[in-house]
Amino acid sequence: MAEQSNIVEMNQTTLRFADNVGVFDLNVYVPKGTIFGLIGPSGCGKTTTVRLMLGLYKPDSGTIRVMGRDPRHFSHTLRERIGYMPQHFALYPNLTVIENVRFVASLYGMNPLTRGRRLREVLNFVELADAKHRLASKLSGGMQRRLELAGGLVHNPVLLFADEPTAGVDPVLRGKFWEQFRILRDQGHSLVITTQYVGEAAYCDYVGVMRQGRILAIDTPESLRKRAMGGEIISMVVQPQDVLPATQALIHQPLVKSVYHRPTHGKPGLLQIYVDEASEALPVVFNYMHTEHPEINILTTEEYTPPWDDIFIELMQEAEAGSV
Amino acid sequence: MFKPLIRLFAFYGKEFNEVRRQPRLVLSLILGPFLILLLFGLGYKGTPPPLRVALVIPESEMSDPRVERVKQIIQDKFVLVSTTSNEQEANQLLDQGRVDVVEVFPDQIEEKVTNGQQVWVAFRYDKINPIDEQWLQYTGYVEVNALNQALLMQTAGEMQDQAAETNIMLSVARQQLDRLNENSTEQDRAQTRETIDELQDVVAILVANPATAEKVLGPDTDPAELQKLSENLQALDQALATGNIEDQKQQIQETRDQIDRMEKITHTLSSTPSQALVQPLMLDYQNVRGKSLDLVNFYAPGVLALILQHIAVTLGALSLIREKLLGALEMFGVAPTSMTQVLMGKISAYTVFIGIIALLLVLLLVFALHVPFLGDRVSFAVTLILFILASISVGLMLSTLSNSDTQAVQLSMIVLLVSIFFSGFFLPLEQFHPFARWIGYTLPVTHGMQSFINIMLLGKSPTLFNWIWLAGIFAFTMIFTMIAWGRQFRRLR
Repeated sequence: MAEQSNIVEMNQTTLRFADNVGVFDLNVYVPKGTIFGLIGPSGCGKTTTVRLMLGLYKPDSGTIRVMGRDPRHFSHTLRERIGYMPQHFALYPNLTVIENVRFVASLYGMNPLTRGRRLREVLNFVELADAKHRLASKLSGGMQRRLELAGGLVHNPVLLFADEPTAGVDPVLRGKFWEQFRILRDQGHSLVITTQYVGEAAYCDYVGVMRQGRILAIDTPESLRKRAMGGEIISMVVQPQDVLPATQALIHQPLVKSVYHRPTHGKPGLLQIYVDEASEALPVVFNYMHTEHPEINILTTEEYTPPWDDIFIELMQEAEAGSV
Repeated sequence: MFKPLIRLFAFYGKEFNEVRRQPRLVLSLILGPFLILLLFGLGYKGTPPPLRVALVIPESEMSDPRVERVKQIIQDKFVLVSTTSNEQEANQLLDQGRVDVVEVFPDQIEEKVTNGQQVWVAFRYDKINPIDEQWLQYTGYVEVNALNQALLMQTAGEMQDQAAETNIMLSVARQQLDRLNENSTEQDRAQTRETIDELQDVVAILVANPATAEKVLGPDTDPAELQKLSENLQALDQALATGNIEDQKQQIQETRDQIDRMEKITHTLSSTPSQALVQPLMLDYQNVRGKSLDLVNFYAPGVLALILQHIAVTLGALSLIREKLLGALEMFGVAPTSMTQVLMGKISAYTVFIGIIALLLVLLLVFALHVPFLGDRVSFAVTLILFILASISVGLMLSTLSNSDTQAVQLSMIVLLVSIFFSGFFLPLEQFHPFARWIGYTLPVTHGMQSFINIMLLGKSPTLFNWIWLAGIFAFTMIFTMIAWGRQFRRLR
């Protein structure tokens, strides 16, 4: 990542609360025009990290630059280019959807005479145009989160911070949220998004995995997957009686790093073959088995993408073992 | 260029919309205080209930006809529940709460008074409320005054009767002396001598008993002059007896003059109404403002100030706490807005909102309850704005000391309680020690109430003292709030 292209940079940033909790030695770089996902369990320091980036907290040590400025000294002009969707609903239950959005627009200094079109756009974007006269207190949880997103986007910010936007939201709506984030990214916005749902890492361009106030790993989703699992995986199903000869055959193939027998209820002959690049290795391995070991009956062979939960658990275990 | 204004009006509009979404709140804010005043006016009598008394009269005095007169006087101020000669029985009534006071008369009142002693009427009660006690003592004082007055009237009447009799005797003596000369007949001299003998007896009694002399001739009687008259009468009597009147002409004239003076005195005494003798001075009340106000009218400006302050303090106290609990402060911390804009936006919205409530309340007071509004409307408006600003800022300051809605409301209630006791609403500020008066001065309601009374009821301008205090409270509490909230704004830690 070239330094000039980073919209957020944190260097060795530490903030300690009482009882030795906080965030420690954070090194985060968010390239412009990307979605940066900060993933970790509840209480791991995601919100603290975002608040540091927004200047709401002052770090004990280290430096933070957001759009080239120390967040503690943001100018009003620079603040107008930042959007924020806090973790908890921070809008007003006794105001309607449109009144809430108008209020945020006014906070950001948007001219009441000329902002009407933008308000309509953003309400359409979050699919709340039909509910604009409904009181915020009468909205469902998902609609409230969308209203919050509208508040974060109404002034068309360059950089949006969304703190757990999908928490407590049903899977369909979560998918919609990420769809909207990707649209924003495609429009040139940069996004820093925190989430507890590790599966959402797949939607990000870059992912930082946090645990107990520390970044365990930070990379693209694919690289993280490889790193966690020790490479990519090819899934091969053979007849149960062929498991042993197939394993012995595969470990002699140069592209194969390791082979594990992972029988499941419907697939007693399931083998997981670890390689560096699954897309490259898959045809080579298949041909090798077909030509060198035709006696082994291969039922299926495919690239296997492990779920993010598994990847996350791997990363956690590695961290606990002190190897990350 | 207009962005700061747009931000300020963002809060203005937000607060206004939030309040108008709660019509029941608005209605209760306007109608609530009005109904409180109305109920106060309808329900408050303004006079304490009559005190119930058990009267204890000595057995020996029970048959005295004057007891009935005493009872009548007592019943002017008290409800006479029982008349008894048994003091213990009366005390039981007091213990049982069936009477408020036991009034005990001693025996032989007349004898003691005649002997120049004071007589004590005992009032026994068991009040713990100092105001009740003051009222009871005052009522007792008024009753004993009335009894004293009745006694004096009786004594004065007796004195006037004696003076009238003496006056007649003096008049006869003077006329006989005027007719006495060398040509007077033996019969004239004998009649004159007879009169002088009677007069000598009277004067002898007066000389011997100065108290009686004062009764008959008034308090300015000179004993030496009475003695001289006695001597002159004696000499004259001897002269008449010897028939040597010519040599006693000068003495006759001197005696005649003395009798003339005494005649005039006794005439004045006997002809003056006894009421004028007993109560020479009377009170003439005159209220230069026409008449005093009824209680509703008098308390209306105070209640108005108290209620407006409470609304403002509560709104101010809850306002920032709610933003904090909602998480909106975090949003403000990220947005391009300042703490000053947040506070000013809120203050301006609340000022307009409370100002509208105040206007509606004043209209209701003036047109529905007929509370006078004699003063200048501009002065009232300026005072009202200063008062509302000071009250809201006190509320905002309270929000810096609170961590929850409940705490904010509790602190607002404490301010209300302090206001009731120390603002001069019920108890005049002048009755407090100076240090306690300062507590009152730090409350907006003290100055709001004084100014409203001045403007509405007296038609005067509010004092500069009140305006300066209101501005001072606003400035101090705002600075405090800015410092306290400023620490949290954009700095969650």
